[in-house]
Amino acid sequence: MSIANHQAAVPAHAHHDDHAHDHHGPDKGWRRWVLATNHKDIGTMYLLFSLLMFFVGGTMAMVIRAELFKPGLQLVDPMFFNSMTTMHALIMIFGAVMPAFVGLANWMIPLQIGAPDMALPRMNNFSFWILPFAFSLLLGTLLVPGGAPAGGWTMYPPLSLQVGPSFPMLIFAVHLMGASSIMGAINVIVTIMNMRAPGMSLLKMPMFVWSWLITAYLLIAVMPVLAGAVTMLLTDHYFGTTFFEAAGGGDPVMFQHIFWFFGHPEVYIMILPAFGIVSEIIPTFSRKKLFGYDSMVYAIASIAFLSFIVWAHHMFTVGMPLAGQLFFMLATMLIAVPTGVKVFNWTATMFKGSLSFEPPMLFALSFLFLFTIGGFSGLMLAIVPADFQYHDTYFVVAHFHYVLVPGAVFGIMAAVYYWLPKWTGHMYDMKLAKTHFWLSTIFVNVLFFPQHFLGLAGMPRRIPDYNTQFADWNMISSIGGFGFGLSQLLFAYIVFSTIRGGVKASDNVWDEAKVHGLEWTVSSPPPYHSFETPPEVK
Amino acid sequence: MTSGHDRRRGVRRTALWLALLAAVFYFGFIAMGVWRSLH
Repeated sequence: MSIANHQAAVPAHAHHDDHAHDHHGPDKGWRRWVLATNHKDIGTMYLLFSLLMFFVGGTMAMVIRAELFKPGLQLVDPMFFNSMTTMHALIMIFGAVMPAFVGLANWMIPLQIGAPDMALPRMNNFSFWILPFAFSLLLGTLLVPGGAPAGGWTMYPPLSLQVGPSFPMLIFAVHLMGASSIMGAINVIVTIMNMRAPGMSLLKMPMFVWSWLITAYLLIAVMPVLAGAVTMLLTDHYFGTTFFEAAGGGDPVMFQHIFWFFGHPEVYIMILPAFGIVSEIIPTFSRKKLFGYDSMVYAIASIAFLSFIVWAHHMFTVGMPLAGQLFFMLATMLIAVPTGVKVFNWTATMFKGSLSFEPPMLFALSFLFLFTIGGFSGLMLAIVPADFQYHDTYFVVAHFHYVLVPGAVFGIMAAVYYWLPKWTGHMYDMKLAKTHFWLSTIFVNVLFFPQHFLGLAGMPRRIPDYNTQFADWNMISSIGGFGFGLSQLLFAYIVFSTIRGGVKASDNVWDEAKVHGLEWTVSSPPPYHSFETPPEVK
Repeated sequence: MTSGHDRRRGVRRTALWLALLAAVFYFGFIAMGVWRSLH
């Protein structure tokens, strides 16, 4: 049975309990999706939307890598190239990674805490349906005179103000995305705090739920800060204020401070749920309990706290007092401690475990190795004198792509391969999924590892042309990019063919492994209302 | 176990506090910008 029709079985299930007044299946046709309040339907829409945006943002990445395939300007004009880097980032961050995690939260949090649904289902519907409007507006900027925003996703003034009509569209789209994220985060916290099954104390919650609880607090604290920053940009542009304009007594660097006060926690918003996912998958396929559960929770909370006091490491080169540089350098390095605790615990969970290497585990292991590379290059960038050399080079591009692609994106893919059989009731083709894993892992390294060398050799980021000394590594990186992009078509094929049909998955799904959590106690696919009677947690 | 009524009240109360927190961050940062551009 597929996601689209699995609820057809539900009225039959509901028949067991005819007298219950609120047992009902989904609406028919478009009403089911447009008026959706069911957490699974909304989760599915978030995940499909995110997949679509992943390909839209990915196409923009292909334009960038095609232009950079060899030195010289060949395919697009420089302004359009800058629009591509800006839009690629905005779409991947706000349209692909964040909605994918919200989709996973929608699907899994009620199932993992034993709740019938999310606490605020109508707000849930609203927070999803804002997104297609926000991204239509953002993508619409490609069609207006003057072109799409091209000043980078960081929107630093005065550069970001030097565009045409796309500017207010960008600001409005960012506000809409922010409103959607805040509503999603409120829903997650309210659900976790009020809807847990009896007996499920906070320190009995699955790690994915913990990671999302902390992420949701980060979202509520920082998305309004981004909204405040872009509101001030808007009033500077149209209403004569001078928040960021030196000529009027304002300070352009203040924008950078405010932006990165949002921006650094944002990085953790995109990685903490992946930590939660990996903490679910590694114990299952190691056939052991997670090593150091409590310390994992405290580590996530510590990382979240530290993420608020490191923002200025993104702007060491603006000129700040030595004491400021030292503070932000040392605070940044401190993040390695809780992150190290997590990597240690994942490794210790596998130690002497009975490991098996199904696709979710392969992606989790790849995450472990490659995210750690991204973490180490982050430590290099934290060192102030070194950062003066690396700043605005391809080394930074390599660093954050290692964190976000084999980090966040592989975390999402691991989650999809882990829970897709539960969602659809079908097992996917293992061979194809493993092929997808190997292609992705090989090409992601071919794509991003050479960018470290380019950055160390001095190639600046966000340029469409470069010195011939950078030609070889750029060509290799572009080949990796095309390979990685094409490999993801296989991912889409696997997902859609599993939704359409396939071998029936059992309720336990990973029968041979040691699954943990309430989600495995319901049928595959789960009933329309997940837990009508709350389960007892011992 | 909490009753349905308590739960509904808890949901409403948590949601309102969180919305207030978000509003404080939004207006607080704009107020900081105003304060900074006046001094």
